Amino acid sequence: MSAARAGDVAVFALPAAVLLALLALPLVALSGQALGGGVGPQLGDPTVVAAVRLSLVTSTLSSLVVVVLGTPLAYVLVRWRFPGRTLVQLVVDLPVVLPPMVAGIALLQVFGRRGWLGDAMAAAGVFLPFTTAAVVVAQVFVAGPFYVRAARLGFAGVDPAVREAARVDGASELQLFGHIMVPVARKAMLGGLVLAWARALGEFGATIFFAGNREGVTQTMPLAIFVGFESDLTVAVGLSFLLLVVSVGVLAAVWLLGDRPGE
Amino acid sequence: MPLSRRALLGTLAFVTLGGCAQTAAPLVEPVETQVVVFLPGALASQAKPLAAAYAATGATASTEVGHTPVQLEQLAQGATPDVWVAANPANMASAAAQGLVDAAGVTPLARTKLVVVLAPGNPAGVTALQDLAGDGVRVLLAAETLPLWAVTAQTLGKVEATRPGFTAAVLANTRSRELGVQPIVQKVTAGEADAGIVFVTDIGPGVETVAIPDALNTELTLSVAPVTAAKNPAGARAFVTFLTEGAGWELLADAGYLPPAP
Repeated sequence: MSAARAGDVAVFALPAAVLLALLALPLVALSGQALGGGVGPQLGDPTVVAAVRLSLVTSTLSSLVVVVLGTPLAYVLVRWRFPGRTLVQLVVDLPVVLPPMVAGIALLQVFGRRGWLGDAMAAAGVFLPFTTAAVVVAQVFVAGPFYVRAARLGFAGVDPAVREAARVDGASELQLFGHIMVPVARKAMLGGLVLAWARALGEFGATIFFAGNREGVTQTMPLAIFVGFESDLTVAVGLSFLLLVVSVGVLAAVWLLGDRPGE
Repeated sequence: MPLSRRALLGTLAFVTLGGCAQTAAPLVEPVETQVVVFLPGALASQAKPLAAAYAATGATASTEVGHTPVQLEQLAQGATPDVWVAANPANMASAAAQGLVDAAGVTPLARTKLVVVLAPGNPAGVTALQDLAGDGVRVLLAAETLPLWAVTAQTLGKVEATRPGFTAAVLANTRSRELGVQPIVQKVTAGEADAGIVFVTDIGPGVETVAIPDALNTELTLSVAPVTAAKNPAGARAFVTFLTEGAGWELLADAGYLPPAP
């Protein structure tokens, strides 16, 4: 009986172990290579420093944009029913599953010199592609949905009875938003923000098409990793390890904010 | 219920055995007539025509286009194409020194040279290479790791010899260091930038260009070699012959590639 039970467990444990090994071993090997290979000095390389600084600046800016524009969007989606609401939700969720390179090419069709807004922007003297602003726009496109989804779930989790009570007490929509909805949804919003920031930090595909690759201007950490892979592997390994550490920190933050799977 | 459990266990055993079998010997035996070829970005536009021309000889070629330095790394990490065409003679020499390709079989294949590609309508009014240093010209250049950059840098240096500050001015105008030849061609011809420096053999029909005089131009020599660990050595030899003196060479010559330096 116990042997049969062990067999039962093995049916699940063996394939599970195979997948776990596939997920864990490369990251362990990367860490070993980075820590054992003396990448410390490489991380002081001007190219690396410029890439890290640019990544931190752009991902922080895009996170700000996402919060400022994404919070009202999530709120509207939760608070009101309106025609086309399902379509709006689809558009908001789409970038999560869309290959980022598609995003980069699509952004060029709008903001490129010959894109839909190209003439209007040229008339205004604005040129977006190949600028740091383009990096931020690409990051907002790919990372925004992560925040909006989380904020939407957070707002939706507010007990309708609490909402109604506030309304009955004469709270305006702004008061309801500021004193009830945001405080209650705060953890979900923060969790979404951390995920969005991490997604922005790792953004590559849309950036390379839409923003290009210029040191200190558009060459973010993922692009520096790609270029480094062709010239100096230790730079690529060092930057990859840095992003791995950041990713672990992001997951820890999200877990601490209560989004722990299975609990 | 016991039956379904047995079925599950049976499936697991099958999967495990399948996994063992795969490590012992490839499930798919290499097809004798197929030759796998790694090509550089400088031949990207010729990959499909070459494969089609080779298919006419009764064999098949599977081509993979990538950056020469990356492909060198892939060879070192155990990739086993049958033939490697490199855009950087230094990378090919390195592969030969490491025993990754047959050193005796390294053959110069073809030469190409640089041209200035222009956005449609030439909005920046570029009429010569020297104009790339002009105020406000939006330039795209190759990333420093690409063979294209090594050649571009030499040409910029030739202008620099008579016009000090030229290279710095062009670099200041450079909006992006693109990670391939085709991205430069695509983004410039889409009008996202005014001009770029690429290989003359990367330009399709109807694209506006400005020639670079031979005195300032720099040539790139492509070389080909059979890979030491080739799974299809006979096919590798046949493909190298096809490229250097057969229908493959005729195709390259028609596309504007020059024969290797005598």
